[in-house]
Amino acid sequence: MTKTVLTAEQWQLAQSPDPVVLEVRNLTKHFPVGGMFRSKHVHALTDVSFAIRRGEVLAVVGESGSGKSTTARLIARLMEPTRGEILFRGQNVLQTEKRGASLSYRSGVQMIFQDPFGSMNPTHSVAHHIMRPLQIHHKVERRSDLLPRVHELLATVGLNPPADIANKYPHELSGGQRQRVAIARALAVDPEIVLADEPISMLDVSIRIGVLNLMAKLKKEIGIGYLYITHDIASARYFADRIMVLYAGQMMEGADSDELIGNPAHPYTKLLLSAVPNPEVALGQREVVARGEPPSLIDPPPGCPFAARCPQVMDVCRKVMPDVQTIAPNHWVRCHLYGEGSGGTAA
Amino acid sequence: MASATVPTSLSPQSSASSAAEPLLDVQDLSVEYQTLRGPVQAVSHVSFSIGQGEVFGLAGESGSGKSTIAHAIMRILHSPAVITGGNVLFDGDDVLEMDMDGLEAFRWRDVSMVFQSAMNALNPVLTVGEQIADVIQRHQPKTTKQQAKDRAAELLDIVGIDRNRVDDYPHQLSGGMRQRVVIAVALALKPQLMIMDEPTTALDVVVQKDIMQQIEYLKKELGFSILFITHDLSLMVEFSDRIGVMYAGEIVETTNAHELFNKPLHPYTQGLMASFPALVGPKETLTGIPGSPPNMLEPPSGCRFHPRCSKAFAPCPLQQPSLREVEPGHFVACHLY
Ligand SMILES: Nc1ncnc2c1ncn2[C@@H]1O[C@H](COP(=O)(O)OP(=O)(O)OP(=O)(O)O)[C@@H](O)[C@H]1O
Ligand SMILES: Nc1ncnc2c1ncn2[C@@H]1O[C@H](COP(=O)(O)OP(=O)(O)O)[C@@H](O)[C@H]1O
Ligand code: SF4
Ligand code: SF4
Ligand SMILES: [Mg+2]
Ligand SMILES: [Mg+2]
Repeated sequence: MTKTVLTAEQWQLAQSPDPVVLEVRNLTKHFPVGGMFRSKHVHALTDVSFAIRRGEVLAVVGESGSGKSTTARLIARLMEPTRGEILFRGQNVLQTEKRGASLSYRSGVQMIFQDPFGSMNPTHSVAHHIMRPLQIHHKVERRSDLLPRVHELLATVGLNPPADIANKYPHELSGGQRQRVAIARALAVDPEIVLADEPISMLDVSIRIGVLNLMAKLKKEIGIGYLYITHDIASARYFADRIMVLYAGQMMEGADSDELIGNPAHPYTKLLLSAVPNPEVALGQREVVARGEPPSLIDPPPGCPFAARCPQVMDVCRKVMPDVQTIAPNHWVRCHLYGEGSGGTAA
Repeated sequence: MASATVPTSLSPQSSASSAAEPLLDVQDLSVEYQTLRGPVQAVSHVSFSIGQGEVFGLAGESGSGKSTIAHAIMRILHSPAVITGGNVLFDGDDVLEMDMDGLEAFRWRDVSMVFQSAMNALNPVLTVGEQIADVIQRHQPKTTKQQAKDRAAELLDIVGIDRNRVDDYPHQLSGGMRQRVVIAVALALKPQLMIMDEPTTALDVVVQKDIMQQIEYLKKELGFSILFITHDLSLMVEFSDRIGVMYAGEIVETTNAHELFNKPLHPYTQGLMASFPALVGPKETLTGIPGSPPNMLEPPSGCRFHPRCSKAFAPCPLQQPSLREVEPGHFVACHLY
């Protein structure tokens, strides 16, 4: 059962001139739970595969509990996967680094968290927060270069005047400013990939777009690639080159952002899109695509996890998990409605 | 200060029923939090009214004063909050003057409230049926236990939960189902007005849409009015008849939902509209709004939005603009108009 469900070729990544920086194959995390013998398992993530190129943004969208943060935490090596591979610049990270992440991997792959309040130490100044990674990763030659580099990084993330901001403490900053400091701290070590887990969802609405624009600028100017985790699919369309939809820990559909939103194929993707508030269509007039809530992840039955809610469910869906089918250039889906011999006809 | 006061005769009325008396009439309401670091003017001279069966939306970022208004209307503000001025008329009665007995009848029976974290406020040791029945029996002492329980099951039905789950405890339900239970409690006494403060903010979009459609349906069936509070402008425009946009404790623009969406006039509203990426249509680079919301201990002088406003000009830092009817039914507080 561990054949790779999705290869880089299925996203037609070969066509892009930029090198793949990060790739994961069959990434899986099953948490043991339940009583003394821990005999049950929460299937938080099962066989997730994707690749991110230099300067590219891949968005992962899905409902609460769909496995988005688990994906990021596994790649950040904050916990061990149950199985699967993580390749960074072609190296299998899980083999080369048995215990947690090495210094070079940690500087190559940085993480930004949702909560700009929780991720800073209240007793340390902004300058301290950014100097530490510079020192640990030997990013400056001399001590006297430290502060100028801190100021440079603060200016890069739009915190002006940098010398003033550097002396402030976390409680003196707004949420948006704190999130910018978190980005500056991530940038300090020259990462190639930034894992951004809901980086704007806790910010005031008027300042969210500014933080996204900043991340987009860094992608363009420095070539940073992002795994952008969000439950806001409109922000994924705005920021990401490609979008992947997770449901109950499994990949359901992936495509270039505009293709996924313009031509969704998977019944769950359609449900998700139809639920996004839209001032131009009155609530009462919108069709209800499916009701109900995501299934329990504790030792789930075989088959498609969406079967219990899917308006187009067939017998085969409750028995067999569908394979990945490419249905258009750069567009794949995992659903028995697509492809031959699966008991359904393509929609 | 007086310049910010909206004369009651001018206060934005329900366009549909300007002749009829509004169900809720908030007039010149001001609320202050008297903190150790000084007074926070959380709500300043706010006026609006809600007609029979109407949905009035209060939009604005966190800290703009939306919840404080909701709590003031329900009379559930606690110290250090002090209502420093204004009236809240419900069906002609002044809520701010009510005594304890009057309030007891007013809350839940006339007006009920659903708030953001309400789903976590359910009592973990009581079944959901017991919690709904409790509210019914407290306000209608003649109801028997069995009658109250039957009604609880019926209410679960109404909000889209299988009535067989009446004996479930909160932890046996998902977040979305718990929020539906809270709505069932709010509906229990058939109030005329429901205050919904971010009722779906903690929920996923699919669950959110399901619940909002249910509320829309119930509103049509039962005919209650809603004060709807959210920071999500798209959802607000979709669901509300009229909207008031708040910034730093003040209503800066108010008109009907479609007018606000199609033709926002206040620079802050325009900035908010430019802060939400769209799901359809051309992909444009959005600008958002520079800077961040003000520290309410030291609100900016003049127009409170001026430090962030790209259109600010000479009078803005000096003089506070008052809410004026710029177009029929469209009120804006900005020196540009
Ligand atoms: N340490 C753990 N032990 C057991 N189950 C866990 C653990 N961590 C996560 N899970 C479960 O794994 C599933 C996926 O969780 P995850 O945090 O990845 O979701 P998410 O998509 O990030 O959700 P959200 O949008 O709420 O942040 C959930 O069912 C969660 O309860
Ligand atoms: N208990 C409190 N003590 C002091 N200030 C408060 C308190 N509650 C709210 N405030 C302040 O009042 C203002 C309005 O808050 P609130 O009504 O909660 O806004 P909203 O609901 O729009 O997010 C904010 O500046 C907030 O910091
Ligand atoms: S595989 Fe079957 S149940 Fe799953 S989404 Fe497709 S049609 Fe629906
Ligand atoms: S009054 Fe001046 S500062 Fe305020 S919104 Fe209007 S133009 Fe901008
Ligand atoms: Mg998460
Ligand atoms: Mg609030």
